Amino acid sequence: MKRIVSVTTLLLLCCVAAFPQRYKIEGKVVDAKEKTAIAYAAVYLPDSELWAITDADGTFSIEQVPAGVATLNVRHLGYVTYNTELTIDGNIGTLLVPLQKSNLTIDGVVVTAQKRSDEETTSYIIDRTTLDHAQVINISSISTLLPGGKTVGDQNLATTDARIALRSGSGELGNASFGTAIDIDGVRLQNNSATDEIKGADVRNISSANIESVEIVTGIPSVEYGDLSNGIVKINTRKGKTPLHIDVATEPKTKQVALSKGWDLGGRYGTLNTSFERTKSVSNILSPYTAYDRNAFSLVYTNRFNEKSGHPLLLTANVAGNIGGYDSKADPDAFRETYTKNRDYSFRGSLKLDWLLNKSWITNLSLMASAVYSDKLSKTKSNESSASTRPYIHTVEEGYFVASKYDENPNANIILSPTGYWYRMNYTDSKPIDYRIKIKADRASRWGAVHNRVMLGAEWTCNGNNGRGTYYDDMRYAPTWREYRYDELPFMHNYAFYLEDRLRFPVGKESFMQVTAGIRSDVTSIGKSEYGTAAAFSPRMNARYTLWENKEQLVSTLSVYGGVGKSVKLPSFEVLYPSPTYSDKLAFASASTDDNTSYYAYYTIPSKAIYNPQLEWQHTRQMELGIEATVNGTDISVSAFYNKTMNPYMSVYEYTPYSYKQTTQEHLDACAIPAGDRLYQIDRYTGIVTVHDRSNAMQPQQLAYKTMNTFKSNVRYTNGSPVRRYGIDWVVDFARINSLNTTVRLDGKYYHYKGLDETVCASLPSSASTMADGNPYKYIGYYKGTTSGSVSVANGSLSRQLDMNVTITTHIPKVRMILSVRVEGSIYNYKQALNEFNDGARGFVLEEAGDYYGSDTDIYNRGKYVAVYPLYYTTWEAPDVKIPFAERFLWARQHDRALYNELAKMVIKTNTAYYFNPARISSSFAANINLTKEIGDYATVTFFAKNFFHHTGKIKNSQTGLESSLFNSSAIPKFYYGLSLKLKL
Amino acid sequence: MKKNSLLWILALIIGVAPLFVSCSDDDGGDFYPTYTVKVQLVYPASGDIAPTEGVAVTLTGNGQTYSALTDNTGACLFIVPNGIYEAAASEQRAIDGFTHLLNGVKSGIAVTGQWNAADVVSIELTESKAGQIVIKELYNGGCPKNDGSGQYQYDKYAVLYNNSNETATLENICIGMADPYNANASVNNYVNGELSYAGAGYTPAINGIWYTQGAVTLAPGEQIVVALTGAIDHTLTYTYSVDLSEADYCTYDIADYENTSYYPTPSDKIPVGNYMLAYKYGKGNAWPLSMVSPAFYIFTTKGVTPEAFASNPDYHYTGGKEGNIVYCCAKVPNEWIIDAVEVFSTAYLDTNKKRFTDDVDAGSVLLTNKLGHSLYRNVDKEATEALPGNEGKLVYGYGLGVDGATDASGINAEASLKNGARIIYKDTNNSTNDFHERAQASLKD
Repeated sequence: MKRIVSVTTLLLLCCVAAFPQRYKIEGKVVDAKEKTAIAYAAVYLPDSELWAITDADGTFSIEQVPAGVATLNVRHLGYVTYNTELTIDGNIGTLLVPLQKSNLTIDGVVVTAQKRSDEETTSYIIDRTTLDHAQVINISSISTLLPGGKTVGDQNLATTDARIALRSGSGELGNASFGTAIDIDGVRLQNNSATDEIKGADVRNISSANIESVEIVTGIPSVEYGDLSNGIVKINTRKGKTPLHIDVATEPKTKQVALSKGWDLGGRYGTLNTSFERTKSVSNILSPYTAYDRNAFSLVYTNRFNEKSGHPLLLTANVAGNIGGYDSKADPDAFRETYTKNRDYSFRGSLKLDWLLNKSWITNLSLMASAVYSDKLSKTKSNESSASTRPYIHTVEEGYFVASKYDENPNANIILSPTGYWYRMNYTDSKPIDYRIKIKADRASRWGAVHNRVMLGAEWTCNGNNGRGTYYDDMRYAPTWREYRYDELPFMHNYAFYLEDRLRFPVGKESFMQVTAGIRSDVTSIGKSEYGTAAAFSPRMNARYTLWENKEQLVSTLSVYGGVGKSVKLPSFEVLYPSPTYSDKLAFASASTDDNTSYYAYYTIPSKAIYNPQLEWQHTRQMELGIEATVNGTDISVSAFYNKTMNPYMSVYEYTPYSYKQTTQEHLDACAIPAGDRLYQIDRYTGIVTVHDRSNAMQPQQLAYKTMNTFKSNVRYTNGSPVRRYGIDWVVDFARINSLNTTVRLDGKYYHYKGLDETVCASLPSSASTMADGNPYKYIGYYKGTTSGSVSVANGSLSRQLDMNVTITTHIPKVRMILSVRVEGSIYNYKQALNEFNDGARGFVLEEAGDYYGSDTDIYNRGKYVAVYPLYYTTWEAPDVKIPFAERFLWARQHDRALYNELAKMVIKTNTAYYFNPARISSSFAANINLTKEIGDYATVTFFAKNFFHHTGKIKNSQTGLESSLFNSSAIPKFYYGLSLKLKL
Repeated sequence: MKKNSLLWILALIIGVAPLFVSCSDDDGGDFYPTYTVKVQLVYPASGDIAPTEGVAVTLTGNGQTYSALTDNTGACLFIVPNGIYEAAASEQRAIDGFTHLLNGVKSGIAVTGQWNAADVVSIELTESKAGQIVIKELYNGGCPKNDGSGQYQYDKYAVLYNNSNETATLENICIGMADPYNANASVNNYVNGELSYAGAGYTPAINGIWYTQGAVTLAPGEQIVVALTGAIDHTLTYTYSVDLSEADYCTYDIADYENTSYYPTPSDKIPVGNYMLAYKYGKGNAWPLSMVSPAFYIFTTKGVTPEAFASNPDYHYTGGKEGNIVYCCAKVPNEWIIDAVEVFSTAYLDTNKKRFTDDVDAGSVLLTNKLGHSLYRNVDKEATEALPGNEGKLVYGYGLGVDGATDASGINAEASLKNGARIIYKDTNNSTNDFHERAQASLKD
């Protein structure tokens, strides 16, 4: 009995504890200095996922707040975020929240990427002050603000088309930029509909002046984000009421003007924030005609409803876009009337609803619908000329076809070009379009000191392309080309479901632990495609253990965090629908007439991209471990990661044997009909040429021919071998030296990459050459290990880098000035081309450059030529018989010299003796200076100079032994400078 | 009176007596002794030139020159008085497209009273070769397009000319170019400052060779125009270009090189038997003769057909970049080379490097391309003016040289040819002396 009572009491107590008392918090948000009310401020209690938006008089109220200690977070654009801890043990009626205006008079201004210490993964936040101080114009240069990042000298929009790739280097396998997700206000920028590249989204058309903050997750993101493999960049633009901002920035090659203002429409009508930015970059200062224009605009409407009932509903509607692009039309140095114009129009629309239901079974519900439409039409006008009629082939069927003049048959398969001079207009019309609907619900609950939040969501994404592809306006002048319409490709649909739970509980007296575990399921469905429907799971888990916080001792804060996860990257259109290719062979040609018209017959064989039923989606397994500590006022954070990208998308060739008939001059010589009376006819299917006598004096004659046996290449997308990356990032923010108003920051990264490919792929070594007997080359070599899908002596590379930056920031609040000097050092840079398998050697050393045989497999750092054999080879007659190469080659050397000479063409050699020497580049340094000064409350001037020493030191590359000057080298940022003026009225 | 007549008879006897004494060696009453000198021409041991009759030999001495013709053993007889003589013989033989020049001199032949008629004077003949067929003109630099949008380079041609006095008959004529394609290329065959094939007796032919389908016969002063790219009338579209629709030969072989921009179907005025065929061992769909600075040469194969030669992998190697079939070359023995011209570019004066060894072409000619200029051979003034039929037909006052380079002879060769003259061009196997840059192609004259 007693036991039952005590258990029941315990349960009751648990219930009491589990279902804590709930109270109401009311308060007012005001400007700290002027004491005026701030409307549309966001008040947020992260522990219980409750929020409110202040109304016109700055008041807010949140109901059903669980008792206990909770963090309160109040935010408004233009003010410093206010964080405090509240002890909730009863209704709070008059909480006054003063917000300080964000400017250089306050302490604690940072102009570097800040590590987020409230996340369980490595994540950085870059605020507006930092973006202004670094004068970011091209969003792709944001990753240079991360630890160990190297700044880019000229962020020219006209000359660089760089994509953001987190935690990776250049020239690597594994499609790193394609796997970095870019999210702007919740709208994902996709590049899955690109048919000509596998790269991340082009960010040149995003307005840089309108960004409020950027969050970069380089670690393991929440399962809410899918279709990525290398992290996510989240861009937040300005919303709500803001003063009028006028920004003017000038650099040698780029000029920017931006205007933005947010209005409070009064009463119940919400806020409207508008912005417009115009940026123009020229590629050549001496000839400022070839330029990239960005005219970005955005309109954001926010409103909240229903707040008095305690269940506020926040509506955010966003229309943003860009009209601009690259244009070389006005360039007077280009030949008369020739130009290239690439449009870069982009329109994004989104509608977001956030509803605080605050029920026991659900806390928040969020719904978002978005659409992105881009128009990337590119137009090129070029001038052409020809003395003879050349064949322009448009055949899409298999067979022998004769070229005819456009005037006689405009729809002919092969059209003879005109002679003389003409202009040609080439259009490439690509209109990627994306739709997305997201729904998300979460429930926050609390048992005593234990907080729990469960999140459930679903997402539907649709990618497609409405463009026409490449086309020409006048078929008379269109060169050899076949139509490939993007709008005939089906749309790709992705359905995702995710579930995540975040648990936070105390451990002992001063520590607490936060664990997040989630799983995401992506189902991809492509209509009318052989790839059908495929599903992939991405489980992710992160944990953060805070040992203690803000203690009065040497190590005042210490926490460790770690995570493991899997991210799946969906394929792009180039992988799912590689364009069909055609092989055209000249079958017969005969003499030109007085006006240079020729008779040409071509044999065309089309090929479709090969469906690979074993194609798997590319995914990355990520592991991360980090430690954060504050030692004697110095913040230290170190994070180590290990990423393995599995099944990266890669294209390889496959060869299909075929034969066609070629009739040459020798066969024509045997024709008895006199040259002036000949009429030629070629059979479409057999390819035999018949000569008719125009005067009918002689019978038609069939000509002899030669049968050419050759191969047609087809593209097949497959998965490459895994790519491994690991590294350590660290940031050390020393305690502020108050007497000098200076803080010193040391950040750096060590990065290691190893990509080694062991895929077997086919290669036709001498595709344009013949064998000794005059026939086309008839052997196909199969090699193990490729470099991005093509065979070469190296099958991978290894690189190691150590970069360190020192940033000295002097912030003088009284003078309202902040000056930072950043010294970037590239301490260690090592690259080595690899030629090996995980379980053995792949190539061998040649004693003499002209050798084809060697037995020494120690190829690295010897300064000798290296060769690789194929694994096996097949012949045209027997494409399924695999003949081992090495044994046959050795036999042929003694017994069949002709075969030996042909097989020797399949041996791949390095072009230089130093190819496999490691490339160690000696250290180099560069220094940047940035200055921001506020003039009163209304104006800010920023000045920067990159690589201001502009030094001409030398660096040495150990691979070639050459020394090269740092002047205009890519090892350090190019010398560049700029000035900007911002007015806030 | 009796004493005077005795003296007269004695003087008569003394005067007449020597007459009977001095003519003892001769028939016919001659009083000076003469000797028979047999001169034997010795032909070079290496070489297939056999002695032949009718070669003129001269014996010079005592202020007199005697000449005789050899018999079929290469020997001839002179009957000369005593003295010190010098014998010289000179002969030209046309064999397989080459003019073999045989020269020999022997001096200090002492013909004295001790001369033995059985003594033979041997003259050793040394041989040197001059091709009968020379490259008279090479046009490879291209010309400007009418609308000023750039240059047009698919109108290359070469003119081959019989520069000798005998009819030239060759079993085949082959065309090749030496590696690297351009004289200023940084990857070349120089090893330690010398060409890697300098003493080896061959010249590389890169990418492939063209060869005539049959034998070629040229009379003295006859030429053939070989269209190296489009054998059509280019002037219909590009007025600064040339009309190659009536060329004698053209390079056209779709089995190996099927690029229709380089090789549109040839004009129907060119007989199919005159198409030069190709054998390609490199890569590409056109034979890439440089429009900047080629090393162009013609050769003839001996003892093997051009196809068999080019297809034999024992003759192949990869020059410049090891292992890269793009740079595959064939080794053409220097004895087969008929004529060569090394072209350098005026845009790369510092970096042009020779590709021909000195025995093939010891010099170079400069070209500024893209302007319609061509490279034309200089006229050999002495030899041309010496030809008997040229009186009054030669046109002087040549002004088509470019940039200070001109034909030193001052003879306007094309105008003289139109006048009916026969021109002998300079051929010293040295393009610096033998060629000049001409303001326009000769086909446009």
